[in-house]
Amino acid sequence: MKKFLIIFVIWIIINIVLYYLGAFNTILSSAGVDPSVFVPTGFNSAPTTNPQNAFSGYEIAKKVFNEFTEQTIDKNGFYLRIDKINLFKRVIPNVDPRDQGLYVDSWNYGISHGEFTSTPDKIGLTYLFAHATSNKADALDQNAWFTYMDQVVVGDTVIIYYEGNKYTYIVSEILVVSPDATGYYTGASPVSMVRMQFCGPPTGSLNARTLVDALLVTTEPIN
Amino acid sequence: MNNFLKKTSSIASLAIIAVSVPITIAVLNSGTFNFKINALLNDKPKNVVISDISGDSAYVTWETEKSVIGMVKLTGSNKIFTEKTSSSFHLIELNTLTTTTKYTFSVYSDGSIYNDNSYTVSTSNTVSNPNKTPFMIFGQVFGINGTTVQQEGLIYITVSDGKNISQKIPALLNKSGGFQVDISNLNFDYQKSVEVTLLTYYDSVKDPIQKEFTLDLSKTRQIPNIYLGDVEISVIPGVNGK
Repeated sequence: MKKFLIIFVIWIIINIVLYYLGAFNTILSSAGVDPSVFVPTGFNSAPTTNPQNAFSGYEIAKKVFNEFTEQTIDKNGFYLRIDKINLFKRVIPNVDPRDQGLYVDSWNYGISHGEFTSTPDKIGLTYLFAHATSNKADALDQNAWFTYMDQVVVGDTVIIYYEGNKYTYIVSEILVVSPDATGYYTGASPVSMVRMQFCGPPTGSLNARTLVDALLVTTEPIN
Repeated sequence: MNNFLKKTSSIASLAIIAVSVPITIAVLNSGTFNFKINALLNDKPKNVVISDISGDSAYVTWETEKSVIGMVKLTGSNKIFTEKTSSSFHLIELNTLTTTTKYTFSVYSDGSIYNDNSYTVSTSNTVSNPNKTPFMIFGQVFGINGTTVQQEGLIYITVSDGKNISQKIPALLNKSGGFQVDISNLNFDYQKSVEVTLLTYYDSVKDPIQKEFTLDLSKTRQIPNIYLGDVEISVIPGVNGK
């Protein structure tokens, strides 16, 4: 009995150490379990506080909408490009939408990718969000990268560069929803798609949210 | 006496094992427990369908009992069209074809080559416009129980606007039960409602399931969920005016 208890305690300690070393995910993957859907109770229930230098690995975004070209991007990075509105910005991955301080800070570096949502390489919904303002003259100073998103219409092309691949989407639907309709914030979709969210209408208003949905059409490696 | 007992029990054990092996294989193979032994499954293509034929492309689809990577080779050409992953449901697009030409092809399945008189495709005289903006519609298929997604299958979609009817457009189901097709090549008014017929093959020994829906393209691109079981949901629960 004593031996059994000692072995059990050692087993528990090994599991805790493995979890914090990240090896737990590797073990889950090798066992055929998707680590991203394995959320231990109690580890994911509260918003994080806004840590200093949370995005220190990224350069501060330049005050232009069209910051990059296909030639100047990091091929393994994450970028959003919409030629219709002359937008080409970096995307900051896994930004917690519950932490206003954190996501506002992320806009200093680019467009936010919503934490707990999918990525372009997977079947699912990739959720992107950024600030938009009614005063277009102040848009750059306010990091309001989605200010001109209200000009995007169904049928327009959206391109995402993600970890070595170029994903081309076509806008399929534009929805106006209540800010309380949090069900739209999801990573679930039966097909690969991107949802881009900004405040409005009218653009910049906090009374409504506009969701621009686009369906994946082609995937090709970045040359 | 002890030796006799030992001998008898050994012989009895061997007899039980000898009998149980073929019985187990027969029971598993019968599908009673929904198990399949890959080595006993057939890789021969069945239900080979050629669809969505244009002047420069066509789709070849088929099923196999065994999960394999399929290939198609045009007769008289060195070009081989190959799938990326193995499955029991197969879809290959033959592209860069020449207009108004009759092709014959072979289907490669798990290393075996299959030919049939019906393995032919005749291209039309109309080439699809490569610069046309895709118009995607999509949906999701749920299994017999209605709660889990159908992670493998082949679906044929036919769209009609009342005047014109499309060819069968094929799509494979992904691991989320999802599928999407491009209907931009149809000469439809995309701001109106269309009738969508979906024929889903989900099990190589079972009949396909057909469903029909009206889809208002001006409002949504998502086809209502397809339930392979006896589930019909035509309206979301609610009370008029509330």
